[in-house]
Amino acid sequence: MNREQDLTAQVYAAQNDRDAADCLLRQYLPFIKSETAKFIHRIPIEGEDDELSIAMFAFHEAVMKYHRSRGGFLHFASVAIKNRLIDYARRERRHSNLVYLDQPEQEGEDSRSMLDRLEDQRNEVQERQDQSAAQKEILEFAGQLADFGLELTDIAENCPRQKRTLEACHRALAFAIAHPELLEKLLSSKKLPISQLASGAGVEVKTLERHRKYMVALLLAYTNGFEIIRGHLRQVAPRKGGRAS
Amino acid sequence: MKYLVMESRPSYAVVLDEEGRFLKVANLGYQVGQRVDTVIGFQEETSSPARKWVPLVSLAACLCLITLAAFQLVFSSIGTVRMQINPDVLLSVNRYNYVVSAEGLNEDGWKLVDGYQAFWKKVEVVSDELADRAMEMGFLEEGGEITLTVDSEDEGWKTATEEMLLLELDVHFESTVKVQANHDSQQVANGEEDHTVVIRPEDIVSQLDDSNNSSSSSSQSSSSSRPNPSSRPGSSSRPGDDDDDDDDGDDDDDQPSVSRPAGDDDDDDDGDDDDDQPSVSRPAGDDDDDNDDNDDGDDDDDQKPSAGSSAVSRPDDDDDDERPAGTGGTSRPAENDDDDGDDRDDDSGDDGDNDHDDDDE
Repeated sequence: MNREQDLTAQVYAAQNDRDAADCLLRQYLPFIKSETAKFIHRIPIEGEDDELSIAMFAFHEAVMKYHRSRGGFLHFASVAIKNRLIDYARRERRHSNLVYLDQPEQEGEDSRSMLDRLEDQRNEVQERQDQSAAQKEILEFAGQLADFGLELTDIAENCPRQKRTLEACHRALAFAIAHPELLEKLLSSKKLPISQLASGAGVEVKTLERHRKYMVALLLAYTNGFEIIRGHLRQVAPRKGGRAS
Repeated sequence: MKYLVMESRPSYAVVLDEEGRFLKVANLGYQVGQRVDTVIGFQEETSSPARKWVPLVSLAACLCLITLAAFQLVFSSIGTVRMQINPDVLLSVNRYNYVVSAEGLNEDGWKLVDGYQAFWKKVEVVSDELADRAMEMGFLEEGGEITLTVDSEDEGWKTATEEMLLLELDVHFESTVKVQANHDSQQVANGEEDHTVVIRPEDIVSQLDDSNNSSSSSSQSSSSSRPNPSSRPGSSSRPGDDDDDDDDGDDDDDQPSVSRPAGDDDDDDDGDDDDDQPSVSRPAGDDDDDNDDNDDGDDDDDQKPSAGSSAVSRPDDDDDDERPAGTGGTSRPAENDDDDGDDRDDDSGDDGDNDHDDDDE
């Protein structure tokens, strides 16, 4: 009983504290593994089995959504994990008639897979370089966000879900890109010029206020230096790549 | 759609899609800066708003059903009562005897109904009040006449309501107004009022008086003059109704049929006796008048030649045949035969049961 209360308190703490959430997850990794094992009928291996990752994600979701009124946390989490895994299995079953490239072609024969026979068109070295460049840029981006007191997770949670809202935010972004002084103002004052954006782009102030964190990240991505991120955001602004101020 | 992994945590990853959304997804071993084709996102709670409505909608549907059923039960009319004073009013009555609608069938009827709140009152109240209203408005005066036509699919309800209303109106006006019941709405519509039966309280009263006198006299005469076989062994096994019916039927010659008990039959035998003895005064349980009849036939004839003539003409037989109630005409002859047989037996056998007969009468 006491332990249960402890756990509930921990879960409530984790809802507001990311590190606590990670800690809780690590603490309950055996539980997650056992739930996954029940589903896939073998012991999952960390880093290899997608099911385990999904179970961990489901556990995280459960932590975020948990409320005392939903009953005991562990039961709640186990149901959440099971549901997630079932969803995943259904999604995967759609592809069950496909042949995997890295499957050995014939049992017993020297285990060459189709992947081995295909000509590798990807330039792995280039890819790795790209990735590390992107990683650097993203870390820089995260660092700048930290100056605003924001984390990427905050932004993900603040991201507009409705298409209409998203488009409104993008209109504001387009207006900011057309007026680089706004971006500079953002960088210098560390404040989002909401009223100017709203009046300039014809978006409601309330919408921008509600998605302030997201707007900060978006505008920040269009300030100087984040070419890769900007390159990735092909469909956001009408002018690809935006403009460096 | 490609996703750029922005942050990788043990339990989830944050990715940026090409439309500028930052998403929290399951971390399938992602590294920051990696591009992935598919992600498993946070479970959208799109179904929750819909799910929130489910109980409400089902509740509303249930309420609708219940309301509809209640409406059906309460507002559907089980029959109609037509009041013809001079204003002609049609009342629809539901199964709980509440009036659900009142409409006029002629101009005066509308005048009478107009401004009167008939809805959701008991039908007997409405009939009283409408009659009062008619009196106030000058359509009805003392000595006037009200014709009631009750129509329904439900025969039981029909007769019950009819009797109830007749009684109610009669009591209400303390017999100052003549109340008729019309049994066949068709005929009313055609203007043929053959079967309407008029209750005139004076008549009943006078009849009652007559019958009291006559019954006392006849009982005396019968007890003295003839042997009465009512308590012979056969009588107990016989169906008692027939005999009762016989008696009653005969009484009816003198009496309006409305006041008769519903089950009357068999006026045949009684014709003789009962002219003398109206049934009103008699207790219902009489037995074996039939038997008496045969015997009495002689006596009565001796005493009163007029009774014999009435027995021959027997106007009531016809009535009985037409009447729907009670044992049908088809079953009757057989019973009569039995009666006759009994009678013969009685004649031959039992003479000593006078006491019984007297008691009955």
